[in-house]
Amino acid sequence: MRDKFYFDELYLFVTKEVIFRFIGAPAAWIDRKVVNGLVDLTGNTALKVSDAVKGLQSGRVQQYALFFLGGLIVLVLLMTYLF
Amino acid sequence: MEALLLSMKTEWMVTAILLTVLLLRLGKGVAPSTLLSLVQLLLLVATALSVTGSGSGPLFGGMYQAGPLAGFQKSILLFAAWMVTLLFADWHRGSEQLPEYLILMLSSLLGMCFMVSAGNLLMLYLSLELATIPMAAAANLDLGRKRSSEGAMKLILSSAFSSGVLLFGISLVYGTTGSLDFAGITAAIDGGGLQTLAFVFLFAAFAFKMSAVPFHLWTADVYQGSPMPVTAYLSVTSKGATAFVVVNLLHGMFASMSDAWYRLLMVVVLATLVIGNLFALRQQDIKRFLAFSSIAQVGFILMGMTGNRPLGVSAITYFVLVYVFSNLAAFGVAALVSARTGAEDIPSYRGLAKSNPFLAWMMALALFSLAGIPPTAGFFAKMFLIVEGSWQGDYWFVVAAAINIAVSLYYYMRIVRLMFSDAERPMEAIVPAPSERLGLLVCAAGIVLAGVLSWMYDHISTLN
Amino acid sequence: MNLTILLAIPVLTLLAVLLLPGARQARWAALAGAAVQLAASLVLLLRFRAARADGGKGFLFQMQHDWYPDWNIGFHLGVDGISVAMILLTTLVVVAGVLVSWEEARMPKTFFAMLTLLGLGAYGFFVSLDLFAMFFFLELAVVPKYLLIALWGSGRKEYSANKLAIMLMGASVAILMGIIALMFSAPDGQWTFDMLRIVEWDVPADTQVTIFGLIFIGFGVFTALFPFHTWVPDGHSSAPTAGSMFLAGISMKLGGYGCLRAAVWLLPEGALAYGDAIVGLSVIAILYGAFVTLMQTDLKYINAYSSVSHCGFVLLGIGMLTKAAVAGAVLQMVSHGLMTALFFAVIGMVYVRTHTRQVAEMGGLMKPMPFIAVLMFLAGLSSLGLPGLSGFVAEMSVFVGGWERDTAFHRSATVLAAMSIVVTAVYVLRAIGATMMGPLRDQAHAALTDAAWYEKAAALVLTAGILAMGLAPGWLNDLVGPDAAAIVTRLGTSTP
Repeated sequence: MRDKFYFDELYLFVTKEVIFRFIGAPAAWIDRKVVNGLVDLTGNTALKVSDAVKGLQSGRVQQYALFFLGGLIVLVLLMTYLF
Repeated sequence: MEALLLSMKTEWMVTAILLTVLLLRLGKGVAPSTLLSLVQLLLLVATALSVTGSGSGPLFGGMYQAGPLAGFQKSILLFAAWMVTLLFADWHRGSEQLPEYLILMLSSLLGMCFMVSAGNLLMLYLSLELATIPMAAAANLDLGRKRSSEGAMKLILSSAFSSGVLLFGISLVYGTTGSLDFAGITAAIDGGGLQTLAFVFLFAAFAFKMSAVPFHLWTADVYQGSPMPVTAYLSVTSKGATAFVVVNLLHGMFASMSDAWYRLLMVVVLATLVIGNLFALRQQDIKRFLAFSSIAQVGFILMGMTGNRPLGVSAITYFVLVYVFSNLAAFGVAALVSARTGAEDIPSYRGLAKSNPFLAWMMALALFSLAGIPPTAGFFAKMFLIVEGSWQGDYWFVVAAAINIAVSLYYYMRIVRLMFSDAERPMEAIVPAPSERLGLLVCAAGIVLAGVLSWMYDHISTLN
Repeated sequence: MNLTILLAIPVLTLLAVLLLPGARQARWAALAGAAVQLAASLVLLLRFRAARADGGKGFLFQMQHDWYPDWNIGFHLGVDGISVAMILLTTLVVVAGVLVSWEEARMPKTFFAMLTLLGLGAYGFFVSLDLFAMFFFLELAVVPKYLLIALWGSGRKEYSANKLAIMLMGASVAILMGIIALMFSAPDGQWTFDMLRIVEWDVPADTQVTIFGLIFIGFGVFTALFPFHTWVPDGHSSAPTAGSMFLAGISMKLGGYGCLRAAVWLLPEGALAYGDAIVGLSVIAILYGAFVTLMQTDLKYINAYSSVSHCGFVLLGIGMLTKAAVAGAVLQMVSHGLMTALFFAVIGMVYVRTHTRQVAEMGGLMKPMPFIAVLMFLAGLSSLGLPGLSGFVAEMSVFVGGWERDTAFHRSATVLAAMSIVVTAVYVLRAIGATMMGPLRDQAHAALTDAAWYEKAAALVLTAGILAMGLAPGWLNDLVGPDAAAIVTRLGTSTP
């Protein structure tokens, strides 16, 4: 009874060494890095793409007309061949 | 004769106001503030008279089609014009070319009214040009600023381009159906190859006016360059009037081709929503930001057309009305901030709520409504369009479109957050003129009440 | 009882808060409004019990108005026992939240307006019988949540606010699609969003399964369904105290209630098809949430992750599809709402005084602030399910209901979920022990004061709820039981 059958030590070993290290820590890591990482990735990608495309609009009217024409041709092709 | 007077009363009234301004300009001339007050008053009276209803039936051998819903749509346009004169009173009074500006704006308004009631493709083309060309001149009215001329130049060049496409489309329609009259064309449309081509050309020209992707590129530059009232006016009326025309063409003239244009619309809706949102996400300039946000809004308008039901027309009319309230309130605040402090970039809105709680709340309400958050009317308007978009049962398409609401929340709320955050050097206190305050309050009342209380929609619904 | 009163009181409160000139008047208005609403909900409880004793069944006090008939949208109000329980929970949390924020110094008028608006969204959500109106009220609460975090929060508040708003808005899109698809699946074009009419339809099973997925996952995000729970820890820890209390105590309950009402009740075939998946995901959430909580060092993160675990019990109860388990899910919503609101309130009180939420920087706080320490014990013990407090009643009911399903899968799920209580005990006792017990860690903490009157009042309101539920669970069970049973009965004979 002097050492309470090492009950405290056993408890500490199970919690600190087994549960905390092998279950708690990986679970916390997965939660932050994987589950939350995916959420952040989606958001950050949208922002990055937005930053990247912002410069694509040149301000030149010729380019606008070209896009207009390109869009027109694409829509005509879609209408005639696909729909 | 009576029908001629009654059915076209909105157009007559706009013409009368236009002539009044012209005569005053040609005569001795009046003080700008008197002229502005007069036009404000006349536009209010015209809006009030126009909203009481109009006759219906064809005029001029079918060139002009009057109807109760078209009458109401025109009163929305008139109301928007009235709000612009109220909200930007300061700019108007300070402008050296006030009479010229008013004449340009009123001519364009007249063009839009005719556009909504056009019953013939030639009439449609003429009124479209009447609606557009004055705006290009008006965009150039900030004579001292290079950006203003640049915007005007871009608008006129791209408009010319789209007019060419439209005329080509019209000639194809005429070639294949032998008619320019809406009724005649509707009867003769059979969905053949050339008619498909004609349809795409017509659609593209109007998509350009509404700034749907990929015909939207002019929007941001023109919005940014033009004087604020011109931008605000252009963003709501031009878009609204074109939306009314397009939905009439799709559900009327081209109804027999609905299988084909439904899928075309799906592509354009998704492209418009995604591109509009993507570009809006990181914009720092308030006018460019509102330009891209307005592009994204067009995606929803087009989505409401996919259902091919009369209900969709009610939903679109209601959406445009709500959009007038919301977008004009946003532009109104932006104009006040820009005029008094010169700031047109979003980061300088930080701390606006501290120094200008009224303006910050108005802007917040407008942004909530644009984002479609309850209890604002924008929520209801957007929901109706989404329900209408689901009518055909392609839920994946609607989900893909509606996800954009979640994305847009990011950039709308960002501005709200900035306005209510602490700032080291908050903006100076801005005192709006009485008419500007009145305009903002009318918009706010519309935003808050037009959704929760259903009578405004009910009115549109009974006209349809 | 006229249910519009429950909406009129918060609307009037909101107007008063916004229109009264000063900050002091605004907070008194907010408190008065919340208190009147509490009184009204107690009257509702009494009237409801009386009406039911007179033989009333199902949804009582119904009233119906047209709203947008073109779009099949009506304004149909009515409450059953489950909604009454949720309304009671909401009123308690709102009163406590307003009290806790008494000394809010930053834009107090706007702050109290946001709290009131969030409350209004919840009340409207719980009394609506029209899916669209429910959705309207659900969305009404989005902006207040965002702004509470973004403007009054701490830490990475902008990031957390954005994540919360965008994830919840994305979830709303799924819900919206689900309810629109459900509306359009009406027989013979009898479209409506009215739940009492939808429930009579005979929707094909495969349609039900598809729509159930959309609606359940959508509402699931609100109630921290794994793996869509990541807004929970960041959102709660960045929010101001009242914001966390409202998020965990009210907002997450909108999700659980929505899952039950709009998904399981309306779409029984979907519930049967998805039941096992829900059980699986919720057991993951329970255990995973508990283990992740173990590793947290910030008191708010501890409580936020433990909310993921606790809300897992709500979903587990729903997924088990037995009468006792579904009733347990509702009890767990009420219990968790009260207990977690109390916990967040206590964390807020500690933070205001010590300016830290790190467990390692506290210790022995029992001495300077005994009242707060007792509150923390109470919240903690309820959290780990001590008999006599609310948590025990709720979790027991879920386990008993779960055990009724006699397949190996359901039995092992029940056992695994029950085992999480051990982990809960570890993190709760560790957190309380490390912060409250032992010698004072930081000598500067010796001079700290105990709870102020408004903090005590807030805590007492919540404690009263926890004790009322824990010591006399019968009345709540009677309130919720018949309606939970009605939901399960609709599932037919294929389940016990």
